[in-house]
Amino acid sequence: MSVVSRRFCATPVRTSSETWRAIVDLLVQDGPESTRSELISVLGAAASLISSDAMQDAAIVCSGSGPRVRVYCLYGEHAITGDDANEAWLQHCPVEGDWSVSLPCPKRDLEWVNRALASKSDRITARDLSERLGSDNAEDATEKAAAEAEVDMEAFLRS
Amino acid sequence: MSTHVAVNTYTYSVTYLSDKIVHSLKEIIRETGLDPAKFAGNWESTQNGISTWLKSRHLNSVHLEVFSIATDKLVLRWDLEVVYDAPDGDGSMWVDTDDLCYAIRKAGQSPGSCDYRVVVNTRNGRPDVAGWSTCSFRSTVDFSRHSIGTMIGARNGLASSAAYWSA
Repeated sequence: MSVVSRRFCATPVRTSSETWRAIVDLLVQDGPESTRSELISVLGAAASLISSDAMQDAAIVCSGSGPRVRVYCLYGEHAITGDDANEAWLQHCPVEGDWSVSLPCPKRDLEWVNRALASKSDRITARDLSERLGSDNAEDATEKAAAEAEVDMEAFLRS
Repeated sequence: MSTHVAVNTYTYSVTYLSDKIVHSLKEIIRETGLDPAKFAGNWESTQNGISTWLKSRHLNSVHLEVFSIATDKLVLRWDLEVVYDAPDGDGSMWVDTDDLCYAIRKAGQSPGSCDYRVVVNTRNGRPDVAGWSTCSFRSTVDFSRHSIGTMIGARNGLASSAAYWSA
């Protein structure tokens, strides 16, 4: 499974509502308006999770067409400096076809958040943020390795 | 250049404080035994109102009224008051959720069959924000006010202190 990650500046650069709208823009791009509406319909629940700092270490995971997309948020001074931010446009639209979005959620909010999400969408769900989805660490390591992989020109020219 | 930085810094303080006030309201609603889903449904308009009136310095305080559905009488009220000239301390932005959670437990859970609403108190001349209308507070006669102290610090003099009213 290939994966791409993005890191969005949240509070205090953006409010939690603005952060969710920016993330939706990334996921939908020029995709169907109905998909954008579905994602915006859960703004309150998603923004409440962003305001809980839930996306600091656990990702929003979007699975659909193309590579899986993992979105984290930066908070406080990390958001202000933006040194680790990566809000670059994706090469693909992940919310095409049979897509789903999983939101990391503090355990104490899981019951009401999942109920609120279920009333708006059957594609967007929340999971306990302490639970790793799939093989998060392995995916992050794979992506990091891919990003760091470079051709050793000296060795290549010697061969 | 320095003016640009100062403006941005104040905007960050406004964004931080408005976000943490809305977050604190959600925590109070959940820990009081009420359903935050209704509040989440109005998250963006609540945030827009608080943020707009913080920026224009019209916002005095934000309140959560918990009331009986049967009698429409107040059961519990939380006050988050805005301070515009608080000392900045070490210059960090912070929220004291431990103190808040302790106070919520002390205030107690709301009895069944209660509903809630968010009310703000603003100075005259505030700009209009979509989703908000004027209203009056429910009576606090026979209620006692319990002050908790400063809960949120947002730099640039911006902070919020909390209190609750119980019968």
